[in-house]
Amino acid sequence: MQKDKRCSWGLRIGLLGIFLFALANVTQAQTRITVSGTVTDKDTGEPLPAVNIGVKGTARGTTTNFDGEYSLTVDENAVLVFSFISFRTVEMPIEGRTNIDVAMEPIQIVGEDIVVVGYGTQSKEDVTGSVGSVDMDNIEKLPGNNLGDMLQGQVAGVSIRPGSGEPGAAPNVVIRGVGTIGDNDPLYIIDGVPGDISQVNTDNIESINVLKDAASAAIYGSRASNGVVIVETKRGSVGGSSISFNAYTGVQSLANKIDLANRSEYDLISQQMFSNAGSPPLGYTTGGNYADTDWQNEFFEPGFEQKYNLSIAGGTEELTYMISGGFFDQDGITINTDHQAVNLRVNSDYTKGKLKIGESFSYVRSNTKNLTGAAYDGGYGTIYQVMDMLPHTPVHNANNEGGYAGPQHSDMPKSNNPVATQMLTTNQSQTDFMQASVYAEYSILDNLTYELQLGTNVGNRYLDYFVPTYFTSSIYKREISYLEQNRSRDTETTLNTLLRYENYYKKHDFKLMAGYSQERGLYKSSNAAIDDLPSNEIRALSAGTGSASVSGGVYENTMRSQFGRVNYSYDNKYLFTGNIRRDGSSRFAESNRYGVFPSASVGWKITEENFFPDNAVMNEMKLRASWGKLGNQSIGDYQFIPTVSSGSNYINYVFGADQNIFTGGIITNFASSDIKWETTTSQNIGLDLAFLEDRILFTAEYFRNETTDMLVNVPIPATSGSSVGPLTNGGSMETEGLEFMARYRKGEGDFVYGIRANVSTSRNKVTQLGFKDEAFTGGFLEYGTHPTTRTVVGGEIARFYLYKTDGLFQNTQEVNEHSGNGGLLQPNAEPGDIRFKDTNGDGVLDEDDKVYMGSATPDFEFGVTFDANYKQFDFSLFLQGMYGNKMYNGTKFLTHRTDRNTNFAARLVNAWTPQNSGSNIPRNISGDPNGNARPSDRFLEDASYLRIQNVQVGYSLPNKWLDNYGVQKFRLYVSFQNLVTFTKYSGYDPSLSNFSLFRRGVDSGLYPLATKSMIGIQAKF
Amino acid sequence: MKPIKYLFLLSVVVVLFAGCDDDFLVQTNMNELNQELYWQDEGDVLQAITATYSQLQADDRWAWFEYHYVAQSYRSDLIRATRKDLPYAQRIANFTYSSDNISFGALWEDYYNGIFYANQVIENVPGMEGMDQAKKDEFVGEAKFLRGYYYLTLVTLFKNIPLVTTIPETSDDYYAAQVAPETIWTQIIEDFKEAKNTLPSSWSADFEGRATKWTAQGYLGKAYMFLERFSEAADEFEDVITQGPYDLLNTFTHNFDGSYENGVESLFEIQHTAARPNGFTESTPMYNEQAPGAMGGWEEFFPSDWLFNLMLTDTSAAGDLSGRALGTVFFDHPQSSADGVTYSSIKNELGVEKVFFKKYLYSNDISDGTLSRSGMNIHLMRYADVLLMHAEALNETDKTAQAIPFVNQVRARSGSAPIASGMNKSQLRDHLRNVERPLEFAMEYGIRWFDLARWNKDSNFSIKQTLTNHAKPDAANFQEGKHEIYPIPLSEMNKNDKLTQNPNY
Repeated sequence: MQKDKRCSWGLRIGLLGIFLFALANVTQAQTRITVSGTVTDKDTGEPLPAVNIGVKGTARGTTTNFDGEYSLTVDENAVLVFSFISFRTVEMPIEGRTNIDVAMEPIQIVGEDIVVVGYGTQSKEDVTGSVGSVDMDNIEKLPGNNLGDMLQGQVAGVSIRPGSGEPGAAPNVVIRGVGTIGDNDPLYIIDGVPGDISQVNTDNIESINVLKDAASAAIYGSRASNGVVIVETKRGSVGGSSISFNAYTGVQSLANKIDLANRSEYDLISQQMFSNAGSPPLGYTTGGNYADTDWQNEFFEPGFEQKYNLSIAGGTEELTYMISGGFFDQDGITINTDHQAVNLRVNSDYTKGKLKIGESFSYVRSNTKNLTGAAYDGGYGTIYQVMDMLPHTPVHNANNEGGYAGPQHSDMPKSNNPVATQMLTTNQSQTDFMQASVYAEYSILDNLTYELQLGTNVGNRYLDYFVPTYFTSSIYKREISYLEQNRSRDTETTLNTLLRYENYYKKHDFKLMAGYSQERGLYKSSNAAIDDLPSNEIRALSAGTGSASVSGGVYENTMRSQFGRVNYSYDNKYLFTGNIRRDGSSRFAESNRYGVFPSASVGWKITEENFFPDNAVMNEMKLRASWGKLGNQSIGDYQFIPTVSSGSNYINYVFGADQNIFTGGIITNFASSDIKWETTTSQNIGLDLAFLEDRILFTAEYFRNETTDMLVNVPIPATSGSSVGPLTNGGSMETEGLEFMARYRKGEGDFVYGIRANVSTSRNKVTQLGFKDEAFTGGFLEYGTHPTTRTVVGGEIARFYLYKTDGLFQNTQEVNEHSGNGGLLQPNAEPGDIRFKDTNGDGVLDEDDKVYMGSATPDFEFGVTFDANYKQFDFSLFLQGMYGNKMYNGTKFLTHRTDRNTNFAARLVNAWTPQNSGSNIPRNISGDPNGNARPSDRFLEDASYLRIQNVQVGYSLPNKWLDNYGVQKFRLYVSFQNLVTFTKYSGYDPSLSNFSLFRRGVDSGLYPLATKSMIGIQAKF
Repeated sequence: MKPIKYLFLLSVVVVLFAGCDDDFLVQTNMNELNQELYWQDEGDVLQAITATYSQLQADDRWAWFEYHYVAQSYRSDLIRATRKDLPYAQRIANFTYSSDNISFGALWEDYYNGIFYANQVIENVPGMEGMDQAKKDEFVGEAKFLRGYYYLTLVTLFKNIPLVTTIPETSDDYYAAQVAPETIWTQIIEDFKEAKNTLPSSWSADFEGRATKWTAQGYLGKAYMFLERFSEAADEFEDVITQGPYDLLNTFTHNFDGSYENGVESLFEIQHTAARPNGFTESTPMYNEQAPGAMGGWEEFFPSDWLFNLMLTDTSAAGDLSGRALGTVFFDHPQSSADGVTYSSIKNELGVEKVFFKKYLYSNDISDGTLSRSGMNIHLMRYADVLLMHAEALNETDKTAQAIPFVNQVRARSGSAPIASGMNKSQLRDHLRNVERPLEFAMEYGIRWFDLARWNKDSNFSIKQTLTNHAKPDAANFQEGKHEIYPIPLSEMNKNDKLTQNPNY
């Protein structure tokens, strides 16, 4: 491969120019003096470390050391601004003094003064893009170990929907609405390196910031179009050491059951179904010695959850450290599922003169007992099996191998016993995840710093799957055991190197940053399976004697990027930030390999203007606006390389007297050689207001994202010869939305309380799909049938597209009157069946009569936190919800369809009959000739909900009791999670969502969230 | 600022942004072969032709049954598939299917994929270097035979279909328009003819199961039957009968018990194996689909009542039930058994259903104890079919007397009494349509419905009438002018605006 001769010389020269310009400006414009002093707490007189000292009207400043001391070189007539979390800000004109001591007055205000942005930090008041900071006080009150789940409802514009309540399951995270029909996952940066947030102990988190618009995220270029979540873990601070111990334990259980028929209800429904069809009843419904099992009771069970975390943090001026170890243990709320994680983290920083080096290291081992069977994304999950099972079947049968029972009668549906499946199958995964990074910072000049960071993430995953021999019925018997072991190894390495420079000239302040980064991801997997082990106790692959199979793959991708940023402010009133990043990715052919992503943002601090009164009720008012371009390359590796498929079941065939399998090899997919970067252009306008010394904060933002060159798998007709269409950059879509955040705190006195709320809304619209009919049909409930959503140009992604019901036919006359020019609209209908609307009035009831009926995207979603402290007591309440989102209730479809004999919803006993003509449930009719169970609004439900997500009451022991024991803090609490959900949705849980974009709002047997009750302690020594 | 600092800074900048070696961004796919490296040698072509055959089977064994078998068989008067808890299949059997039905939708997709694979062989092989011409012609002929087979099925089931004979070059080529069915048939005849001329008359033991010259000729004859070109059909069949290596097996059930796969009675079979090297599965679940629950089966379809009664009439002169009746249905009869299990031994465990098909019900060739992984091949054309089609072609060309011995040859093998030698043309036609072919080929793959479809060209014949006469359940739902063919699958209509839906769908 030839080297690319154009390789960024322009950029190099440009950057060099910037540096030379910067150096040339290192001129002393005014008389400077060095000011030093000590900052103390006014109440206790103790020195305050880490106080921010800024120079008013500039972005310059420093912080105090452990002894509260500082030293700063400034203009002799500058004003110093001392600010610190929970203390009232002090402004102090220097007036020629060289020693200024300050005593700061503590106040009960929590502020997030510093936000972490890409490759650096920024004072919150200088932010011009859209950055959402998570209130860590809220997060600390949520039990659990999954950071993703905890972010639900915390930040305006960050939508989190659990994909499953299964222990250890990752949630669906969408920032600022769906922006592409491809991958919508945000980029996670953990301690400066891309990583996996599910592998971070939530007790170790120091801060979480979400970069929502292009201006803030563009520094992450190609992978930032879905937003960036920046997580920093806790580090030691200068001064002594402390030990923290947190622990909680509690129980969790299924929040609510679905209404399923018991045996006598089933018999009644089934008999009615067959009698209406003119057939004799099924034998087993007319009596006999059958059980009456409540399968939900058998399959779901309360589970235990506990978490312990011990950490030591501290340090000297040279060395700071944080060491933490934790253990998390969560049972599932179904039988035989659980998740455990053990983790260790060591973060340390060493400073010597101009050199600072440090590391972050974390190791997590987790063990998970999984739900067996396709869990959530389209397959026929075990939860569906629970609903299918007839109450007639007992759970156990001691005479069967394995001890479980199966269908008792030939005519019973051939559903397998879900308790047997879940209990007998071993389905355990084990993950070892290491995230390690080291960095070095060197101050070349006072205002010029060089940084180098090397990081590596190693994930080793292992799955152990074993099905023993067992017998539940002649249909479900396993005469031969099966063992499968899968291993994968994931290695990601990152190299970041940066130069930072900052300076000022008169009222001009600027910061420059330039960097280079390269990443490599390597994934290797090997899977092995064998049939027929000599005994159910033997679990070694080498012991198997049946058919064996192995598979595996190797995937590698690389990225290389150059980037730069300019922060400029004039007189601390007018702010400007400019970013540029150039990315090269191995996922594109040479001609399209590089993408350039610029952005710019401006801010105006109106309250800094001279015309603004100094002592106004409003203490901050800032307008922000930004524009930028971001890229997306989440398309999998090697997509542009045209390949020949070989060796799969689909294209292999058998020849010969010995029936040998021959490997097939043929082109099955058309090449996508021309694909290039998908680009999102994002615009953001924001307004920040603060009143009464930050007691009241308010932020409003409007954004508009436009994705172009969207990568679309063009659906092509099968007559072309390929079932999977080539990828093209043919699509485009728009997303826009509004976000509001407001906060109020009353900070003085014994009774301190606060309320914080956020609400956001977004709407997306597909503007182009790049192929003829421009539509995707999706949301299939059953193996490619029963579609529920459709995506067309001009509309939102994955809107429900369904037949419209119009009540029940009450008599034959109504059936006959429901006719068009071609005769009866529903020729197979009889009284008691559903009338479907001929919405286009063409006299035929067909696909064209389906109409759009909303989507899983809510009109708005919100989170509200109320917290209060009274003396030693604290209380917090967290509410969260969505409004206007729809859910297609697959469990309702499953339990209301009468074309099968699996179990039904109990309410079908009240189905329509000539005597019960007031019922809105269509008649029970075997075979469902009218298609009452066709995809229609019958199964579409309003899934708006308001949930009391967390309630916590805590009590901290008074200091006077603790001091003698060397205890700084000892807090006890009780906590209830997912306590109550107010909703009209009749399935298990309205908050869940499928992972696949075209079926997000389709509840196909999703594992429900648990309701939890916990007690815990937090102690600090 | 000292100059040394500038120098240091400069060197930092250079170090930072140097080393821009783009090899770093070049990754090769080590999982799949690059297209540029294909079509190099005979090994590649063998893989390609293997893939071309593969679409006879579908993605997995379930898909083959639920899509290919159901779509080609369930509408016939020989099958009752009234189980109401299998809606996709039941709607095919009772003529209430709509264009989004997955069965024929998937069949369409698989067969057009097969055509695409055939087209790749047909286009790429002639230009390859280092292979001799005869070998190339053989591969191309084989691909053409398979293309013909796929088109014959598609045009019969859907009638108005696109004809694709080349590899799409531009994105416009992905969207093919329908052509007149006659154009498809012309292509089929041409493909079968070329295959007949280039394919070998037999394959070595390693490659048994591949199409031969005789296979192509049998299908050429069958294609002529569809076109009512009976004398041309008879010529092809006569050639197969007189020149080919075929004969009837002595025992009817030997066709289905795995003992004579690709044997003397077989022109073409779908090849299966129970072996699962490296987990690959090329087996059939036919056992499960037809067997009673008491034998671990799923009871998905049954002999129609009319067929069952017809079977009971298929006797020897002495009144003994024929071998094919006992070999086709499993029912309450002292001699009835399936897979070594006598009917009487499981009679008390049966549910509502009492009569079952048993043609492929043998568990002697399964893998790892799993009944749904049977290595049984599935017949596509037996010699008996050639004999009976020949008889039909002769009869249609007014050679009734010459035709009758062929019918009796088939009957004799199963111990059925010969038909009356004095039958006239219309009696024989009626016998073949309503007695002989149903008895001989019941539940076999893609035969009965295809027969009904081709006879429908005869103005005196009506599919609906036949279904009604034979008490096909829900025959009343059959609308003439609509249900003779399937609708174009909805997903195809959605993706390709050049397509016109079939009448009345």
